[in-house]
Amino acid sequence: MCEFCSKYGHQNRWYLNPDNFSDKLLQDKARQKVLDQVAGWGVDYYIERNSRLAPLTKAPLVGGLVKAYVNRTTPAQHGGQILSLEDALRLVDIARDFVALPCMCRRLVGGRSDMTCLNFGPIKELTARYKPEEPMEELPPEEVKARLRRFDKMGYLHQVFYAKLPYPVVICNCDRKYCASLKFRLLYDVEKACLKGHEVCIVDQARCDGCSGKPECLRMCQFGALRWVPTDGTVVCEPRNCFGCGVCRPACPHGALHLLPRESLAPLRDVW
Amino acid sequence: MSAKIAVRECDALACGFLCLQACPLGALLAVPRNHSRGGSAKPRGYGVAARFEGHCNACGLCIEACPQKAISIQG
Repeated sequence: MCEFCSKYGHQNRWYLNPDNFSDKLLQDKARQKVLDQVAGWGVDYYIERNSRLAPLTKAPLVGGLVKAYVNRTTPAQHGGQILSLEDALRLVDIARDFVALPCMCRRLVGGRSDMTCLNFGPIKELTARYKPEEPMEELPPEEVKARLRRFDKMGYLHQVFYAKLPYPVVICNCDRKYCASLKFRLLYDVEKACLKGHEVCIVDQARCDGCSGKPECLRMCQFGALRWVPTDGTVVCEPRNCFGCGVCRPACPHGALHLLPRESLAPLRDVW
Repeated sequence: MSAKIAVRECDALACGFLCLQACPLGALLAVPRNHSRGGSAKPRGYGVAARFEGHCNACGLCIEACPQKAISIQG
């Protein structure tokens, strides 16, 4: 079971447990500080500091210790987990006050300014306080769902972020080039920066016909988990690389790509 | 082994982050100046640092893009 869920899930996923959205959690001073940082300009400093210190996780001898320390402290700050479209839609029904904001990682890594950060909860008020000039769109739940579906078709993977576990604050829709948390995970193996999702993609070999050598699904996978097998003329999924985002599914015209629960696959049960 | 990108102190707000936009792999990061210990106030300026060098393939597009000639690549 996912470590976050075993602690905060109560037989559910941590980001789908209504208790974790309670305003009572806002009384925590440490959480308030993280929220101020995330909603204000402090997130620039947060990414700056972490990216300055991240190479230490590869230092000889002490690197392992640094990585253990980072993995221990990140849940008390700001980190995320990949989630499938279905889970994201379920989350929309639980959360309140959705606003779309421009993605901050993209701003810092040089991307287009797109309204892909779907924030909820206290972020609306905090952004108005700290970043009054920031473009902000208030969205009804139906519109949030419509955008999530659109992002999914475009190949943006969904990620839910917490402000001090277990309080979810935003569904990010991004890709590997721009997402800061994915960079920490993929460059420096800091697992807690971005946990893998609760599912794994499986290719139904009976249905996959390789699309006459032009499989669209390969284009969607951010992690290189889908691979073309020239001998068979089909696609396979390398489950250890798969993060379970599920954005490959809409690209398959035969419905051959499925998400299976990670727990149901013995070798992947503890790979997060 | 990845290349070493050296970025001189520059005013990235003035040029509009041209090097960031040029980088095809997202190896550069805009970093706020005058660290106020993570406060939520707006940073007074931005510089650029090669924080994700593991992604760099030393293509040199950022060097061409920089109007202040502040970037060089070693190795």
